[in-house]
Amino acid sequence: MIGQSQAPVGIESQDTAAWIYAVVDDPAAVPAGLLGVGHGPVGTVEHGGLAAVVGRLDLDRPPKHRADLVAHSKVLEELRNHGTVVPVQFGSVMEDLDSVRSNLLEDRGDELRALLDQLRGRFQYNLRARYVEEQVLSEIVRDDPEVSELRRLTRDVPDEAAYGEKVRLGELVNHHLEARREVDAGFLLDSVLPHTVAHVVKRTGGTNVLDAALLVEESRAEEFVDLLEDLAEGVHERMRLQVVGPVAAFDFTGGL
Amino acid sequence: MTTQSQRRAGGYLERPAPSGLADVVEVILDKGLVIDAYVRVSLVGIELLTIDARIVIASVDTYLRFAEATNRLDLYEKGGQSLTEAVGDLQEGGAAKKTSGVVKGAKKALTGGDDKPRARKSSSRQRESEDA
Repeated sequence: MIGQSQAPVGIESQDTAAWIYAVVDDPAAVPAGLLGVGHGPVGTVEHGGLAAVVGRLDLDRPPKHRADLVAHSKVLEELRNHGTVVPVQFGSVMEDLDSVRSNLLEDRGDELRALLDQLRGRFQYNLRARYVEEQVLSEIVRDDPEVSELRRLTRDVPDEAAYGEKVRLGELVNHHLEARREVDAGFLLDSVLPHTVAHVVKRTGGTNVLDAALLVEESRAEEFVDLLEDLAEGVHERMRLQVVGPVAAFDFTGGL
Repeated sequence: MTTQSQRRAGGYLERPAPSGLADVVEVILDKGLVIDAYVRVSLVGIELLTIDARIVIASVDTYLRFAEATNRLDLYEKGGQSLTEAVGDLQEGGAAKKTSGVVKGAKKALTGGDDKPRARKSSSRQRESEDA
């Protein structure tokens, strides 16, 4: 049941365990010679048309460095480039390959197959928007006389002086930012959501307007990025748009 | 994440290649299929990085930072320049370079450190178990 020649060697030995990267439904899509966390080989465990992508973990040296996070991420990116993938939460380790087979692939087979079907042919993009700070702050000063007055009172005083006024000024500015974020995030979402099949909006604050994970049909991905380009151009005086992707569907593993 | 950073000619959309730690953290940390694991490795320092960033939001420090940023604006200075002109200047001159927000700042500070585990804070997102 262990996938061909790529199986991690010695994974069953006493002080090692199985590090889990992802679940795929096409083991042939796992590139040969793929290296993962700790430069260890990456292999597969198969059952019922599913393949768990695993590596050997030395329990004496658990991965906890940034390089491990990056290595894990690279494996996921390779997998995503070759097929549909359900990413497993970083840091998940099972006792051995048998346990991966029975407790993951067998016990949760139906769920995993359904999830793979939902994610097939779809890409995740992470969209973030942030204000051009000087621009939005200028708008706030212009629109609220109280902000403008507090600014006059606090701007040329020593750091420790006018503390109360400074806090009040900042609080007001924060309040205005909140209101603006709601409007602007709403506008951005209204523009992009018709082009997505699912989305997750994350909490933001300050000058960060929007942070959202968007699931997009692969066939419409190009058109989607073009739309973002146009949107970014349209709002560029007030906001900067950034998109990361396609990435593995990390934000959609709970089903759509 | 091998995709090269790309940008349509004259484009305004930023498309970074997510290969740095901060970007990888954004993409994968605390996400993905949760399984009934034998042990779950905790990246103490990296985990705190996201938690701390959330705490910073909406604190007095944030207010003071906004107050300071607002006071830094050159709206009415230097010889009665009109507001519109001043805003125009701001847009043209390096507006982007000062846009790093509180969250970004906090993350930068933390990711700039080394891999040493940091003191833990209580959090519902905290996971245990390197020695399980």
